[in-house]
Amino acid sequence: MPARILAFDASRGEDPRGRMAPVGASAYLYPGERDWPGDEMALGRFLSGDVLGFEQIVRHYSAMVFSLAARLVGPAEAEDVVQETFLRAYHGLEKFRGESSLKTWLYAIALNRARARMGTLGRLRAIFTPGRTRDGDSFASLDDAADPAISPEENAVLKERRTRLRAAIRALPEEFRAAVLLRDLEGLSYEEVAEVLEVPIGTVRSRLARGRALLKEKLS
Amino acid sequence: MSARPFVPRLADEELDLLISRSVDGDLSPEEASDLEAVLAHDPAAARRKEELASIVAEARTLPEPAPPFALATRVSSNVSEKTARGGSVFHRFGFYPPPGMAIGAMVALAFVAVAITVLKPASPLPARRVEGPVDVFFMEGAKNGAKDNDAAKRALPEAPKIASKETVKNRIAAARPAPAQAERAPAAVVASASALAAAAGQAAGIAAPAAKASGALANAEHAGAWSVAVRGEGARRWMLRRAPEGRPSVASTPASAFRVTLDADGRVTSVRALDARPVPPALLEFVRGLVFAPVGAPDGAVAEGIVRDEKAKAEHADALADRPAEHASEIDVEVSAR
Repeated sequence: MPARILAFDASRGEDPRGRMAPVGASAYLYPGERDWPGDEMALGRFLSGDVLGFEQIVRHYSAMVFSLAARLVGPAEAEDVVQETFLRAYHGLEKFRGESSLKTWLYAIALNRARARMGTLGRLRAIFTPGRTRDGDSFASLDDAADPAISPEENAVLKERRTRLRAAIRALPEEFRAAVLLRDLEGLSYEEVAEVLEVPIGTVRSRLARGRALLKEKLS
Repeated sequence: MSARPFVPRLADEELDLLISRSVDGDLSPEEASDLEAVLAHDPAAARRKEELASIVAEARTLPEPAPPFALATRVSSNVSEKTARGGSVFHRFGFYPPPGMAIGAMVALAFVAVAITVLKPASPLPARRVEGPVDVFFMEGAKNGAKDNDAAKRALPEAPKIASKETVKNRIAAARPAPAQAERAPAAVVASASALAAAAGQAAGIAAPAAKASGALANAEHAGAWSVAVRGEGARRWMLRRAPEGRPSVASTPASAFRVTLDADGRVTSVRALDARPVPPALLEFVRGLVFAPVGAPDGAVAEGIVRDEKAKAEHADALADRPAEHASEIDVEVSAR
């Protein structure tokens, strides 16, 4: 019988012998079960009643969902968005018809949750939440660490340009920002962006063109 | 002579769309050649494409935000914890209430409850207190009256009749079913006393005096309306409880004012005519037979009093003269017929 180990964040390559985080009996995994079996296998496992299927989905997609959420609402609230996304996915997986990929389905949920947080209720909550950072500050941690391959001056210039680019992207209207984020930063194809945004591909093309043009205006 | 190359004319938006798609490699060969032709003849468009491609390239090199430590573990743990609790009911419908929302909802509910309480329309106004004189009318019934109690009971609701605007107001006040009505509207007490007396008489097998009085009304030979009004301050303290059966002829009875002295039970002990003209003996006897009740006496007590009065009617006449004038009260009464 294989030794049972605790679940770890595979996306960060954590060493199971090091920082261990018990998450309950359902999260015990056998060696090899941390490998991504693919959407169909993980989904089938979950739908057959094995909760480990969902654990695999979370481990595989949580970093991607976090990336999108951090770029939309900032790293401070991104984890909350990830939590809500997977909680909703847990309840909705039974109704998942497989017409789109699991990745775009999760992205769509995350986008909706982020929109909800950026809405009126979310802004009110941010105002009345003690210790909540300002909008600009909440994205500050996205600034990159210095690249040792280039000089400090070049690092400073690069950091400044990236900060301006992120600020310009955040300043885009929501529909254009989502398209630019999904295509240029998350690397989704036109078809995948169309699935996430639930719009035709032609709309994705036009939104991308308009968003990029606005980005160029803001940066020039 | 060489042919001039065809250069399509593009609006700025169309050019931006083609450039954007070319950056992504989404153009068909025809579209790509068209764009190349435009860029070859338009340096501004070429420069625009370079800038746009540079921005897109830079955006694509932005480092991915690093997820926090053990994010997947926390998410899995959180999901398994929340799906095991009742709160997951909300999540099934896509509702994720923040921790403070329960408190906020309770505060909102409390606010709504207070608002409803404050803004609730006031309860119906209590019966308006009738100030000053109150007229009580007795409409004489059919000429060929029936002597049986059934006829009297049928005639009972018709006994008080509306005869003037002032009486209409009193009737409206009397019709309100407020508990304190009896204390405030003497006319209402009279009406309800009659009804109660009739009900008490039916229950006990005793002919209610009010019903008998109505029967007497039905037996009256003259059709017309009688009016007995307590005037002045006395109207605040006394109301008419019962009128005697034998009444003078309506035609022969002009409006007359009397000052009567009442004993503690509301019976008339003395009568003094306030008008200078002579008073018919029948009218004087009628006034002597009036019985009043203190304002505010409960209906039940009034009804019982009426029954008791009827039984003691015979003894009353003799006892009237010898009764001491303790707790006596003087009121002005106006009797008229029309």
